[in-house]
Parts: sequence; C-alpha cells; structure tokens
Amino acid sequence: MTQKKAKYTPWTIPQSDWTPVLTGVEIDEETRQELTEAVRDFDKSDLDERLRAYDTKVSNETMSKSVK
Amino acid sequence: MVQPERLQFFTFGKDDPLTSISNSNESTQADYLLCYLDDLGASTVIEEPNYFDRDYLAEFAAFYSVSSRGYANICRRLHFFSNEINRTQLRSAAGGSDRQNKILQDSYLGFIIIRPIPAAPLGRTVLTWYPEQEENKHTPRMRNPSRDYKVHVAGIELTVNGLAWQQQDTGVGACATVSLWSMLHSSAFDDHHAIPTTADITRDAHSKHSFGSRVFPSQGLNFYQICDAIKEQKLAPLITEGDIKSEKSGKVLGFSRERFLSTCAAYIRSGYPILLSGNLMATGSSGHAICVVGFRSCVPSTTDPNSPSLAESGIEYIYIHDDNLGPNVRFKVDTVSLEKEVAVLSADAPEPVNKSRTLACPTKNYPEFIPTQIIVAAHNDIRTDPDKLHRAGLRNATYISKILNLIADKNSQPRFGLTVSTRFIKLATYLGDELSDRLGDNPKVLSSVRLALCEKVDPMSLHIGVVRIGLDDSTPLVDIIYDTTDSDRNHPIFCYVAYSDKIPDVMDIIESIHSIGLGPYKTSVKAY
Repeated sequence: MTQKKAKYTPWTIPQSDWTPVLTGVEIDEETRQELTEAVRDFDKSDLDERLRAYDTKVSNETMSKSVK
Repeated sequence: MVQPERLQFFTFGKDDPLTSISNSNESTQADYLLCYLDDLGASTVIEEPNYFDRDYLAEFAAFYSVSSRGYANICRRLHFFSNEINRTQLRSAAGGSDRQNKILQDSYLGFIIIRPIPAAPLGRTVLTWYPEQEENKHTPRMRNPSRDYKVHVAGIELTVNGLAWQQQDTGVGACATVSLWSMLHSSAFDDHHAIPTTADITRDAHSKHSFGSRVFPSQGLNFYQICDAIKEQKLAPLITEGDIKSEKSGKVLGFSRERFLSTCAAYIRSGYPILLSGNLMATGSSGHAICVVGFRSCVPSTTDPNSPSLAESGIEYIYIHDDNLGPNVRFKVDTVSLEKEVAVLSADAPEPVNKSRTLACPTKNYPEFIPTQIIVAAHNDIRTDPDKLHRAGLRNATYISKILNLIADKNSQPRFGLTVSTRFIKLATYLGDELSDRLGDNPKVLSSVRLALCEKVDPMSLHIGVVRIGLDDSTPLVDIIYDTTDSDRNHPIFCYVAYSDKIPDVMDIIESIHSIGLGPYKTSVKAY
C-alpha cells in the first residue's frame, strides 16, 4: 500500500509524480545475505496456484465451435 | 446505366438518408448510429449519391452480381459534419479555400457507406470517437488500433481517425467475418499488408477447413476457419481460452475478470483489436463474435504488499464494434455468477448529450455478453502472448515486492504494493515515444537510457514484450524487456530498465537464487 493515491496509469505517469523508493537506505552485504535467505525460503505455492489461471490450453471442442 | 448526380445536403436527424433507413427498416444499427452521431453533435449530412466501394464491389462480385434480384453495384456515401455546411462553402473548399477546407476538416465526424442491400444497408463505416473529457486526461481512452482514414469529396481531402465497422450481410460475411475485417484494419498492420475485403476473408477462411460447407452465403465460421483467415494474411492467430470452467461438464464458462481485462488491455495497448467469442445471455445464442477496439484506462487499485496485482484489473469500460449495434459501443465490465464468477459485458452507452432526443439508444435493451475466448491477429514474429508476460510479471513482482518490503520493514518505512502491466511494442516506439514520455523531464537520463539500449544490450527484436512493474500509485520501478521472437520455453530477456536505484540490487538477489528460476536479466540499464 503506497501512501499516495494513484492519479495516473503506469503508462501515463510523468516523472514529476513518481514516489521515491526507500530514499537514503543502503543495501550492504549483510542485508543482502539476509534478503537472499529470506527470499530463498519463500513459499511460492500460492503464487503457483494463482498463475495457473494464465496457462489454459485451447480445446478441440473450442476449435470446432461455430461463431455466427 | 448509372447517371451522374449532384451532391445532396441534409440537416442531420430530419430528412437525411440515415434517418430514412432508421424509419423504414426499424434498424437497430441505424438507430445506434443516429444516437452516436447526435452525441457527436452532427449537424449536416452530405451525400455522394454515386460511390463505388471496394468492399461492396468485392461482395457484389462474390455474391450479389448473380442474384436474380438485380442488385446495383454502386453505393451511396454519407459524410457527417458538426457544423452547418452548405453548397457554397463546399464549392469554396473545392476551389482551394484553406479557410473553408479547415472548417470542413475541423467539423468532420466520419462517413457511412450505404449499400444497395435492403436487409443490410450499412457498409463500411468510420466515425470519430467521442472527444475526451478534461476529467479523464490522466486515464485516457486507449484506442491504439484506430487509424487515420483519408476520404475525398470533390477533391477535398478529409481525415477521420477510427476503425472501420460494418453490418453483417450474411451473404458474404457473418459476425465473425466482419469482426475479423475490423481487426485487420488495425493501425498495427499499416506497414504490413493491404486490407482484405469481407469476401477475401470468407474465402480465406474456407481455403483449408471448409468441411464440405459452401462459402457463400456465409453460415458463420468456426475457430479453425478464423485461424486460417488470419494466417492467409501472413499474421499469427493467438487464442486465449477462458480460465473458468464448469466443475460438472468441464466446459469453458468464461474468464476471471482480472485475466480478461489484463489480456484485453495488453492487446489493445499493443495496437491489436480483439475478436471476442462468447454467448449473448437470454437469447440462447450458440455463439456470437464482437471486436474490442479500445478501453478506458484506469488507475491501479490499492494493492496488498504480499500479493502484487495486475494494474488493469480495475478497468470499467471497454469499447466494442458489434455488428448488432454499431461501432465504438461502450460496454461496462462486470461479473456474473454462473457456477463461478465470470466476466460479463453490458452495453452501456453514456447518457445522451442532447437531453431532448426522443430516439431511444438500442444499447438499453441489449442482452449481456459472456466472453469465452479471445482471438487476436498478431505479427508473425510475435511468438509469445500476454499470458506469458503476465505470468513472468507476477512472478518477478512477487519477489521484488518481498525484497522491497523486507527492506522497508527493517528501516521502519511504509510497505509497498506493487502492480504489473504488460504490452508488446515496436522497439522504435519504446525507444522513442514511450521513454520520452516517462523520462522526458530529465534529458540526460533519457539520452543515457536510449544509448545504453542501443549500445550495451544484445540486438533486440522488431517487437519487444514490456513487463512494467511499479508501485500501486503508478510509479514505475522496472521495465523487463522480453524477446518476442523465441519460444516460450526460453522466453529470453534482453535487459531491464531500472527506474529506481534499489532495483539493480533487488534484481541481483533474485537472479542469484537459481531455484526461483527468474532471469538471467543480462543487462541492467539505469534510468535514474
């Protein structure tokens, strides 16, 4: 949840309206290791389930369907 | 023999030929066109009484010429203007008056071909879009498939931007044929080929999969035939099947709203109109085809930091050429519960501008439409589809979100919700207009990004797939640039363009964990 309410789309937003991200934060080697470990252990089963909707096959029944 | 005739001038809505068709035929399409033109502020209609139309001549040669009814081979063409135009003004414009030519062009709303087919008189029709309202300037109507059509009246050149629509005649083309015909008019194919006529399309559709049925009169097309008609144009048919299926029968019920809208947005933004196949509710229809030509873009909704969203899943309206109604019909997108929730479209034209209009817009009583398949004609070198880009986008966004929010938590900063949006785009357009629109405020960065993309990235394909991941306030974080010319198994990335200085570190971490299976990202281009 970004604090600012969107006014533009991702394809129309001008640079002047961009929100700075994590300004002043440095990612040192120790942080990097922590992040790597946390991400490595991430349970992606929910993500895989969600992405299944984007993997449909066109059936023979569809190919034979007539459109009038 | 056809005789020469004078151009005719009419006051719109009184005695003009379109109003006559509406009055005499009880034509839903003529009623819709009258309402649409009324909202555009039409004032004058100029009729060319003799007009040879390429599409109708092809229909005539294929079908009507051998009918005993004795159809004529010539059409009429109606031009619509928002100003009052008289013969003196037209004469002046024809004589070269720049002022009168400008008045004509500035008030030109488009044209309709009137075919000499009483049952289906409305031929090739191109009308301009409703003007954009100031309040929608940040969420414009996306109508990238539209193109400029140049017409000539007595040597006066007029231009209208839109996409051609026509009424199906069933002699030469059914709804699938006219939807395909509109699709193939897209601006995306301007440098590709000559636009086929409906007769060409119906013949092409029957070239390999006729199944013993006759070509004319057209009885509709099946999906094999639709795909063949597209392939005959040296284009690639891409079909997306609805993701919601019946538990009982296994049949496709429709699309989830998120997938339907994201797929439509990706194609339309890429310039590809969409043939939607589906069912009209409450009519027992065995299948109807319509053509999506635009959508009203939307701002992303507030997103859960743990689950990135597709930026276009909140689209409220799409614009459709429906041969039962007319061009650019606004449809509201909603969901309906069959066995499960599926996307449903309801014709929902805006309230009339002219409050005293007595003609009821036929969109009011039009049945709802449930889309079940999406068909697109894309360039042959595009060997992937929006599903692959959305899968890649959501996967990448999930990990980027995870990492950014871990950093945010550690530094006691607010968490971020991320969104994904995708499109295909010509490399030249991405390097040109797209980057200029995003980075134009900072010429130094714009220049360095453009040069890096040309000089440091592997040579890229004509069309690229762009996955844009950003915050839910639309701030872009990264564009991941995909090669569209390889197989889905490889789905290679050319590079990524980072709009934030945190992104290279984040992408390095993701790439370093091989078990995630994302990347290699190859080249990082800094746009900050």
